[in-house]
Amino acid sequence: MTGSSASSRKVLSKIATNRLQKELVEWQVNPPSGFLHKVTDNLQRWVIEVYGAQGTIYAGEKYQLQVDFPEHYPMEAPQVIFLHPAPLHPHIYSNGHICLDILYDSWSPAMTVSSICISILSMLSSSTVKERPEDNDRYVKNCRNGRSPKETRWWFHDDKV
Amino acid sequence: MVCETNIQQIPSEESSKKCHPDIPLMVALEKVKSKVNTISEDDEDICPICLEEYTSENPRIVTKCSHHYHLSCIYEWNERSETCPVCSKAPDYDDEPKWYLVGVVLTNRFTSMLQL
Ligand SMILES: [Zn+2]
Ligand SMILES: [Zn+2]
Repeated sequence: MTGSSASSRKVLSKIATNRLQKELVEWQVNPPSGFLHKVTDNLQRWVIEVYGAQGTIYAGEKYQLQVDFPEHYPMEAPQVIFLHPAPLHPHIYSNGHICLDILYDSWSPAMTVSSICISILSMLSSSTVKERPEDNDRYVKNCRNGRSPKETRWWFHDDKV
Repeated sequence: MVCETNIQQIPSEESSKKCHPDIPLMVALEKVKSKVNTISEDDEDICPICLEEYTSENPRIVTKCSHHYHLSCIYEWNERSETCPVCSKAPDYDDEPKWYLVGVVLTNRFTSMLQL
């Protein structure tokens, strides 16, 4: 997979623009529950509020996801990170990077922003402990030069959390 | 910014609408509402990759695993990955000639082209 870091962002292709416009309309009509997207003129970057689900350890908390779309979306996955402060979670690094396979190796062009959001909420909801990944400090240090999570070679933990 | 209150409450469609009193957009939304109400894998008329409808120029093809796409869309994806975007199934290599070309195509002309 070719790297497409935020620093080398190109304008969206026509296919990407069309698809994002459709997703935006669908989001307005039928937003995934627990999320709020403040619509702006910027189709290429969505900032989405995430509300911790009731009955989970994140209940009552609010976080922000930043979704950046590459030129060749949906053939390439968007870059999805939590803005500061990122939730305390065994698969979420303190710099906001998320260890979730569908954002990287398991991305499929049939996924949408909505389906990503639902996966992230389910990942949050199934957590029973509020803690950082074991390798948090090392990883975050390695990312200091502004590396995109899409350039990380992830190996994925278990699917349960 | 209007939504800072009610953190406890997961925003419903209703409350999120109130947060975006963008009238022209909402009017536009009403118009397309019926059409795009359900973007889903089950939607027979819409390609799950580009979310556009099938047409005679850009017809639907069906994979062996019974999923449908525009030929151009699945072709572009298969340059990156051989898996089916909807079910992640990989092709069997003894499939001929290309796994995703096996299946129903909307136009006759196209079917015969693929069988060559
Ligand atoms: Zn398509
Ligand atoms: Zn399939």
